[in-house]
Amino acid sequence: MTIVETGRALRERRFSVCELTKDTLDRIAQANPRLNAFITVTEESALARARELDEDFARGVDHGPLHGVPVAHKDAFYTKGVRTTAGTRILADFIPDQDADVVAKLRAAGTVMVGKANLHELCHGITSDNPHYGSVRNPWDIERIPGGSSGGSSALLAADLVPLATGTDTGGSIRIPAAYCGVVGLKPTYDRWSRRGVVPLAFSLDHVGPMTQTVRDAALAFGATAPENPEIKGLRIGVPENFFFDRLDPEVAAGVRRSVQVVAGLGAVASEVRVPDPDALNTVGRLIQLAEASTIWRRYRDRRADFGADVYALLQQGLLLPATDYIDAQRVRKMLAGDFARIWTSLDCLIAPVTAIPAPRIGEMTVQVNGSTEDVRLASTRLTRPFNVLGWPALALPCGLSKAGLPIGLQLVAPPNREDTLIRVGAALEDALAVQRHPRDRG
Amino acid sequence: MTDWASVAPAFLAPLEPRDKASVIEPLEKLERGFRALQAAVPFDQTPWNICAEE
Repeated sequence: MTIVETGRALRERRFSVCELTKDTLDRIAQANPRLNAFITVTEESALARARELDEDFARGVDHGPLHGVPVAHKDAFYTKGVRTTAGTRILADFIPDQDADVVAKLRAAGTVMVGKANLHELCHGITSDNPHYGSVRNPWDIERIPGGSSGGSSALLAADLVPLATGTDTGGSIRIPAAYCGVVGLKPTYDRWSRRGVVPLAFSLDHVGPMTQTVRDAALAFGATAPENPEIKGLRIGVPENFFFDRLDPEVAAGVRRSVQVVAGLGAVASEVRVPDPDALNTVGRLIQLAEASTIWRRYRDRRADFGADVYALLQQGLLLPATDYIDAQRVRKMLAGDFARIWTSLDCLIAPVTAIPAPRIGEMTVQVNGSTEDVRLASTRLTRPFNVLGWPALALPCGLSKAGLPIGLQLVAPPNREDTLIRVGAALEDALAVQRHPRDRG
Repeated sequence: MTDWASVAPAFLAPLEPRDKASVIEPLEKLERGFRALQAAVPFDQTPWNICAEE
């Protein structure tokens, strides 16, 4: 059930917040052993919060479109009195004494936290194959990864266990799991949503945003209005002619190309555009992420056994980078950002795939992309990371299913602070494409 | 190109022989892509502003 549907049902008194919360917790208890999408389920506090919200409703206090909506917070968000692990053994016993800004904001808006979602350790990876809290499973095929690092969040949405989850995105960690699970993920403009109280990975690349089942729900969670009849006539949408379509699984390419035809059919002006060098953005983005992450976690460098092997290797890489390389990467970043910004003189929005492939199998280290072998991490991040480096807002949404029944995702990208454009185009596409939102067997 | 293994002690990075494939090789690859970009930066180029936050 979506946020919009939940809100309508609550206001028609078809069920109470308490009834909705109990039903949600029952379904989680049934499905989570299969999906492993939660690290912690907060049953008691959820029911207490639900009672408060029913009382508010009874005395005429309506907190708005998120009133009574169950939410799962990625376990990187501080939650007062509730363990926050960031998916690492290092923080296995960390209980924050305050909420993250976003958690507090969503609570004040009437949400009911039902638990903390599993993730890739430290948000430093894209598989959510967590060595300490278990692998998250993709509801579309439980032998496959849900993507990451916000993989628990996306799995819960795809399985229709919650209508709202939170995520963080440093190199694609909202958009990649959204694409692999067929849900919606909004990475807002850098700094648009507060990072206070979110376990950091890389300060200058970390973005915080909502994940939902539909674009309209993402708009509501973001605090915007959900467009009823989105109009995109005349909107200038760029389709990158270089890099973003160069090495793709053919079904991913076909799905995104079909969506370009759809937006053109709705009256948008779609045109091919040559973008500056996204590969350079990936290089400096990876270097910056390695250095910043290791700055944060270096104090634990002597506890090798307490980290997953993949994450520890990344922390070691970051430790080796000299300060001068890091600063130069930030200087290259600024130089490239100036080059990229020029594309907005003739465009309102870009459209591109999120990942080069549909969801890989759990444990797969390499994949075949159009006949060549590629590291799963690179095939997943090379199309998303450039927009972390630039700080631009990006919205991931499903655009179809592969022949194997796996979701295919596209991303829309806009200039800074133009999330409204993303929501408008995303909602129009969602209506026109009418992609199946959940697997038939919801786990 | 940097000999990452030999500089590790100076950086207090606890490297072991088994880390060659998971640490040294990825860094060498990253460095290959980065040095040309680094060389192209004008000397007076300022860094991206990370002080804008919070």
